[in-house]
Amino acid sequence: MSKALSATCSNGEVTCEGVVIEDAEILSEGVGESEGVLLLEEGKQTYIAKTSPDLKTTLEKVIAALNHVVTGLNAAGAALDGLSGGAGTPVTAAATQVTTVVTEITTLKEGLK
Amino acid sequence: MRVLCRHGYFCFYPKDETEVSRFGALFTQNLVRKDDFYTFPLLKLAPDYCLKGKPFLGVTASLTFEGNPWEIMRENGFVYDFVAQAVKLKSAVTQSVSIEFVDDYWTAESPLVMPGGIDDVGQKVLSYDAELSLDTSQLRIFGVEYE
Repeated sequence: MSKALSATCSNGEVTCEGVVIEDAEILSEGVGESEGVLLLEEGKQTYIAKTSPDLKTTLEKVIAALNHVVTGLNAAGAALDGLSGGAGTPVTAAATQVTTVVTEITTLKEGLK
Repeated sequence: MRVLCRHGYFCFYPKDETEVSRFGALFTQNLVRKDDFYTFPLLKLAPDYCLKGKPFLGVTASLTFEGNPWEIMRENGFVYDFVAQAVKLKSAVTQSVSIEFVDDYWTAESPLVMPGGIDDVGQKVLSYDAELSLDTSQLRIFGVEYE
């Protein structure tokens, strides 16, 4: 039999129901703020952070960065077309491919369990 | 009615509902159903874990532990005082209990033995397995565990 309780962790310190759990083993880096689960089994205490928020944040940052790339590529493609018609085609094509990747990552992020 | 006191946590196994009623009349404290046994109302509320520094049935737990209520009480050194109707540290129980060995069982002066109570040779009673006769109010103890 074991018990799972909601808990938080910050700077290596696990807190559950308002008290610090001194002997909890942290199964993660335990440095940044996190929410997770404190597992109790008799005298053994283990903290497991929820990784979904970290992953979601990472994906959002990647999407934002790639959107900047798309904007830049489209601008570069337009500039090249202005200098020589059709010269920017490969660049804007690359922007389109990156946009496709952004859509796929967005779908992945929204499908996180 | 079988009485199982495990580390100061009481489990009662009545033969029928009338024994539950008669117990309530004898002790002026009703028993309540929990799982497959009856117990005192406060003990029914016992959670299956305790966190160090947080109250467990009104007494601050000295460690973090998960398990059956009697295991938690064992680890924390708690017992249930059925007179005060409260959980307390076994070290705080100074009551004397008289348990006499007769034939192949023990008898007690009182219908229930206070867990944490100290017998004639200075031993602290923690657990016991007994049969309580509600006709004679006599407790026959078949097994005792001391600190």
